[in-house]
Amino acid sequence: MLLRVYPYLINGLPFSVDSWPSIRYAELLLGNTPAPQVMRIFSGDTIIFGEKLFGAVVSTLTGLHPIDAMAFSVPLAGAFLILTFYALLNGLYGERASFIASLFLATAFSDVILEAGVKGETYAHPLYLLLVFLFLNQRLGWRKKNPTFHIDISISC
Amino acid sequence: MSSKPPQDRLITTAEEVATNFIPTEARLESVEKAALSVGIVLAVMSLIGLTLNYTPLGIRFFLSSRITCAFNSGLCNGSDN
Repeated sequence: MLLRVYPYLINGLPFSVDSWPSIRYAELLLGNTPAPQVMRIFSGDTIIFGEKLFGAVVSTLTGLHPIDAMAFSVPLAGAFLILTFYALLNGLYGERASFIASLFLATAFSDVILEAGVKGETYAHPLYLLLVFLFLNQRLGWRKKNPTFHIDISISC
Repeated sequence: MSSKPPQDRLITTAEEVATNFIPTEARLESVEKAALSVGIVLAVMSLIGLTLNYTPLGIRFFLSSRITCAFNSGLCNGSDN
């Protein structure tokens, strides 16, 4: 988790140049809210707006500017990919294998670089892996799983 | 009403969210509960933003904080029953 957040803690700016469009879209969303035609704000060429909405809500709730709120909260949310990955593998391969695999994933530099920025992938990866975890978990019977929950996560992704 | 003290209710809010969304008789491990709780909170936050954006008031602090509190309180009360 610290590996993904420390670029912001050192620089005070969001990591990766790909972060700026998302932050600008969140600023536009907060500046023009309520905006029924939300896709027009997102210029119509992007269909991933989960992290922008998440950043806008976090920015509103914390009172921080979207740059500061999103630069910290989105990589922090992406860092929970490791926890979800561990939970997924723990049920499949046991505690030891899941710990080693999670350690590899947590320290893989390509994944750290990808998830240290404010990007749609950063926000979507934990949710996507959570869907995989829900489908593969044997203790959660298929009929007991709430379909609305899956729809919610799919929309957010 | 819940018999838990207020601080315990705040701490276990995310866990109760997960319990409400995924009703199951099976006992989940603490790691699985934590992963489910965080994932659900992440998903719900953006959905609250999307829903608020279509209301006349928009994404404002007053409405966002109230709806988030109401969402948590409703699920906590729902898990008590």
